[in-house]
Amino acid sequence: MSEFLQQVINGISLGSIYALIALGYTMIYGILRFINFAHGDVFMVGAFIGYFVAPHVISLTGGSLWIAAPIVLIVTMVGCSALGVTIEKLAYRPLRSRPKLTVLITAIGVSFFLEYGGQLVFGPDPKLFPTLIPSSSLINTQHVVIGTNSIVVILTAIVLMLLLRFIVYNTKMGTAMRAVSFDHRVASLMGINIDSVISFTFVLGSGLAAAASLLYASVYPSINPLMGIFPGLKAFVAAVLGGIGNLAGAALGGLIIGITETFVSGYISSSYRDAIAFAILILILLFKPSGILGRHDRDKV
Amino acid sequence: MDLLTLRSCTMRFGGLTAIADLSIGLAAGDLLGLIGPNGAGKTTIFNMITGIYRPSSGQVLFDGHSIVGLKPNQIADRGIARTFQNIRLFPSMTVYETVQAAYSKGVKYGLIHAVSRCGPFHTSEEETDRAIAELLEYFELETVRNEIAISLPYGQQRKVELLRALATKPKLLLLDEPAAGMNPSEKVALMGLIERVRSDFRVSILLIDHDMRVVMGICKRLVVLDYGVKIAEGSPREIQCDSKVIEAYLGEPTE
Amino acid sequence: MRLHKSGLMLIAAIVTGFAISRFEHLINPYYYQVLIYIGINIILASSLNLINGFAGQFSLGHAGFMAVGAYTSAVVTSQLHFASSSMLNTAAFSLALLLGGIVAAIFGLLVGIPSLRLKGDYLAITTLGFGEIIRVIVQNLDFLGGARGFTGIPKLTNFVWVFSTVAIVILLVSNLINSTYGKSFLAVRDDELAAETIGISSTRVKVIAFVTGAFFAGVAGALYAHFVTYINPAQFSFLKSFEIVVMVIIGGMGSIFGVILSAILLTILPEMLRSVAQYRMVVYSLLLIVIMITRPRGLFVRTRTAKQSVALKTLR
Ligand SMILES: Nc1ncnc2c1ncn2[C@@H]1O[C@H](COP(=O)(O)OP(=O)(O)OP(=O)(O)O)[C@@H](O)[C@H]1O
Ligand SMILES: [Mg+2]
Repeated sequence: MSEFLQQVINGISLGSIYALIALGYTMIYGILRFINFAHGDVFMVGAFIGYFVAPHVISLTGGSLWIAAPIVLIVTMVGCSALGVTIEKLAYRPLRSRPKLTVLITAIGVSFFLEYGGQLVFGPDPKLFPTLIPSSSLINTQHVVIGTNSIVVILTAIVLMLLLRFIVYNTKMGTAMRAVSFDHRVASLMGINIDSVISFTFVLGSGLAAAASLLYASVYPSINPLMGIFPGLKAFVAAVLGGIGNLAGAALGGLIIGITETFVSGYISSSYRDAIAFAILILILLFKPSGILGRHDRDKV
Repeated sequence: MDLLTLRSCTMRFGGLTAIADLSIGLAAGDLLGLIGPNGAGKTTIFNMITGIYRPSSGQVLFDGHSIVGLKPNQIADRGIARTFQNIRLFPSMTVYETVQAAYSKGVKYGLIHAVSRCGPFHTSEEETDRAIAELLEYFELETVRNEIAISLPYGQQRKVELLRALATKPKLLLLDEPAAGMNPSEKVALMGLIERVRSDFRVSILLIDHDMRVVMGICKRLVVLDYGVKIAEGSPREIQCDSKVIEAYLGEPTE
Repeated sequence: MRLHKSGLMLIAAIVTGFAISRFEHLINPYYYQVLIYIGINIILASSLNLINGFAGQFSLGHAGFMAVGAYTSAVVTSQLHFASSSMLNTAAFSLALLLGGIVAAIFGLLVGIPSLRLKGDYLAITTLGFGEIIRVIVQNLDFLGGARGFTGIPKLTNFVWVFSTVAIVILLVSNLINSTYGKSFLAVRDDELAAETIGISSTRVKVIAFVTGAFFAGVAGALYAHFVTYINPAQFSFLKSFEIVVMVIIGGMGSIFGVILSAILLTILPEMLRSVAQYRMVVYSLLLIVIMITRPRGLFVRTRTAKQSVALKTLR
């Protein structure tokens, strides 16, 4: 029982990280209708920004992590947002009216570029991510250890998701985003500047990926330039599972994938960890392709 | 017995009822015209007949058998072929290849023969080639046989699409606004072509068009649709005087 | 006429292969290895071209089929004893290649079925998932060596085997595509719905494409396994699938000749960039992006008219 509880907490913590990444996928898919394959690599760059920035910030703040961590978070989010917007401008924007396949392959190219460019700049070997979350165990019985780590991860994710919800549903830009994701043409007829909405979407998505990367690196502190591949793919699966284009769905999907993965590695074998998300993906696509919370729309002939 | 029967068909898209309780009969050899204002549901009827949409309720009978629930390719196999309002040719193919694609189903050999070029492959290919050449000549397209179909002028593209449909040897041909985008002289030629095709290939035709002169000129019977409901049916002359039809087209009651 | 031409070409290719194999020992082993890799990559890219380029189904799982073929054939040859008789060896290896292909084809069928419902991005990510699942399963099968890999595979692959297969694959694909029958593939790729309305079963076309494509990927995997003599699951990750996809894309989807050229180019290029290995993948990925933006139909494809190129650009 207590081990079960431990797994649940770990699962929720991992799941909320996936959820943050999944939100980026789902927003970008909602607006541009394509899988931004490079999203997982933006996440990776986030971890490296954190890796380089954190020690400076920590020494400037005199070692107080409670002040340093939020600063590192903001710097990383800004950095990744800038990266996301740049990628969109340079690589995706020229292809906006092209077939999805072309864009998809370009996205794969961007993903490679970040991964191997990362190996070139940061070096291919793993680095140890600095401690950002003051670690202590809140609950420590014989079987269950719940550390500040998990709690901070879960709380940060919740706060960011609420913030996102506020932006999407209660601000002018958010309304514009929803209009664009509903119908580009109609939205531009309504006088919405499509380009700036798309850029803004990349800002939000990449910002969340940045936050996710710091949380992820705090839990799994070994970082390397290829670290974004699997979290990225799994988060994409989470987005599909929840119903792509649907924010609540992405959060839900992230949690389900995180928990399932934790349980599979805890109770079956950790070597199946990376396959389980794909198995879920195939099942969901076969039986409910619109996802748990998604709606199905039909092509018009 | 009718070749095609629609029996109280209804098609709903969410809250929108595009076709409401519609019944239509088409006898073998007929050339039936289907007209109605924009958005009346004409194309939707074609999509229901060809299996692209499944009617929300009602029956579609072809040759006495229900075809509801069959896949589009199965319906094509039964002998229904169509053209599209917004032409859908194969962008990578020449005119000749487009017709070939329509024959790909009917060749007398399978995958193994295709890749090894043995058995009945060569005789079958020669046969197909002759048949295509004849068709191209009939449609006066032999001069453009090696042109990419979608690079042809509009009128010719429509002809290629018609030819592609006909090459599947259908019993029933559904033409969705074949005259759209054509100039008056092309339209006259098209009317003649449709008439000839009907008798030479022994197909029945269901024709949608907005151009009254085209429809009235070649169809002996018309069905008028408005908001998914059949509002009139009869000869062109009867339709022209029908007050409901005039109302639907002019949008005002005629008192 | 055609029969003669294609049959002759095949025979000529095999004879040339044999002739060259006589001098195998004279070729610098490094060049020899590159040559073999070129052949295997042509098989992989051409078979993927059947799925991606001709049937229009975007698949990112080709390495998975390759893995299935590699492992199946390795198991077969490890079960058979290799006598001194070269005749027996030939028979045994033929069997191993064939079984590798067949088992991969069965997996192709499994992957092909979801493709009937999925399109574009979704299909891509699903096939990627399938490939990864295959890899993870192999990783967990002890009798296949798990993550440590499968060792001691006899080195049976040589120039003749590889290039005979290359000749056969190219011939089959080009025969198929140039036949009336094969036009159904192109029709499904160009416009699935219009293809259906002229009686083409898109289901059939897609399944045939996946099964045939997977078969040859399996054979390529088998050839690979019996050349390197050691295989492990990491060799068949989705990076390998991407590599094959990129060959097809750069060669031009649906262009038999272009894909062969790009398979050759993309096998040699990384070798030439070996001295600047750390920049290699960066250059490669930038190239991919630039080609997608400037020549999305591939380097070696010329569209026939301006209007067609516009239409093809928006082709899904
Ligand atoms: N897939 C679909 N989803 C939702 N609504 C649809 C769909 N297909 C058609 N409709 C709606 O059904 C109605 C009838 O459309 P349809 O295309 O059949 O009209 P039409 O008579 O062919 O018009 P036109 O003369 O403009 O071609 C329209 O209101 C259209 O918006
Ligand atoms: Mg219409």
